Amino acid sequence: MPDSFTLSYLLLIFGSALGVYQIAATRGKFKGLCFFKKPILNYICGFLILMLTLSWFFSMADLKMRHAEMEGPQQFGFFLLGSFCALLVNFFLSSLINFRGVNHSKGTIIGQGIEDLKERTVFQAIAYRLRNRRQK
Amino acid sequence: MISPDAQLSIWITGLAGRTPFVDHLMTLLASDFFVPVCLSLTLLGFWFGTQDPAQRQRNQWGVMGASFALGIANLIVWLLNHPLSFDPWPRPFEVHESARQAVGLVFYMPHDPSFPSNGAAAFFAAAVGMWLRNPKASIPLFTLAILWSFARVYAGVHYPLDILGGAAIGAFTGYVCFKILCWGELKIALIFKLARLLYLA
Repeated sequence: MPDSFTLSYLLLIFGSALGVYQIAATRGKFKGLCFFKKPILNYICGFLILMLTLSWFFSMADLKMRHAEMEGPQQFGFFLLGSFCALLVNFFLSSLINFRGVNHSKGTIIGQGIEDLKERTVFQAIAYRLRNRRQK
Repeated sequence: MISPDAQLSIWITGLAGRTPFVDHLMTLLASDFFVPVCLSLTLLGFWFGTQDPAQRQRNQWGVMGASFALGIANLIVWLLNHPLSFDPWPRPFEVHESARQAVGLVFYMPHDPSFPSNGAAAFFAAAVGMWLRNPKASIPLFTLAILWSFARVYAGVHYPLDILGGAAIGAFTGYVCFKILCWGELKIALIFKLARLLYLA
């Protein structure tokens, strides 16, 4: 069972990565990954999540002591775990929020990885890909 | 006779305790978490946050190079310090009074070898790894590496020479890792192909 500092660190990574994904989705114009339709709202949302998480962690954590449970390799492992969980949650939430929202044109090329998410949500892109495979 | 390196360290650590705000800022910057987390989040942002696919791919190559170099630089410093027991001098706070006071105010007393600075090696390796692919994108990484390095000297846990040694190892590692990635371009392209299937690239 991870201790409370490890959990706090994991929460820091999860929250801040979620904020970064929202900012990056707005910058990259990935409508299928955004929580809001208006880019400015999405920027604010991402920035708020990022800042709140960072200020919560760094005001709470004792930075003047050594955290032996969180050395370099552990930090790396928890960073991967936290950022991957945040990505999955981002995929899931944005797909639910934009269930009917994102207007994708029928002619859009699919199969370009994250580029597909400019016009579709992850769920829509997966469904499109599966449908296409069955038709072939 | 005090070396110029030690003199510079004494002068910088002598600044600690004068302005509480600066001490708090240095605590944040020197900490084991702030700069590593900010650097990793910056890399994450570069991975996804570009509209143009060609530019994004260049950034993703840069992120890959930076992460690879960061890991290898860490490994080199660990090999030097642990199996090879390379530990040429004690940390500043073990020798100088001003550094002892600074570390009490800003940081804690680490007891692993001081030279070369592990963090400087890792952060400069990441910055150089990114710079070789996309010089503009490497600016925030270099900024974070420099801020962290100064904060560690301010805190009295590293001499400037520790930082320079770490940065040199980092720069060299960044360059070598860039070359290795160029040689293995085809295999890396396969990784990108797989990542695209999962909407990760």
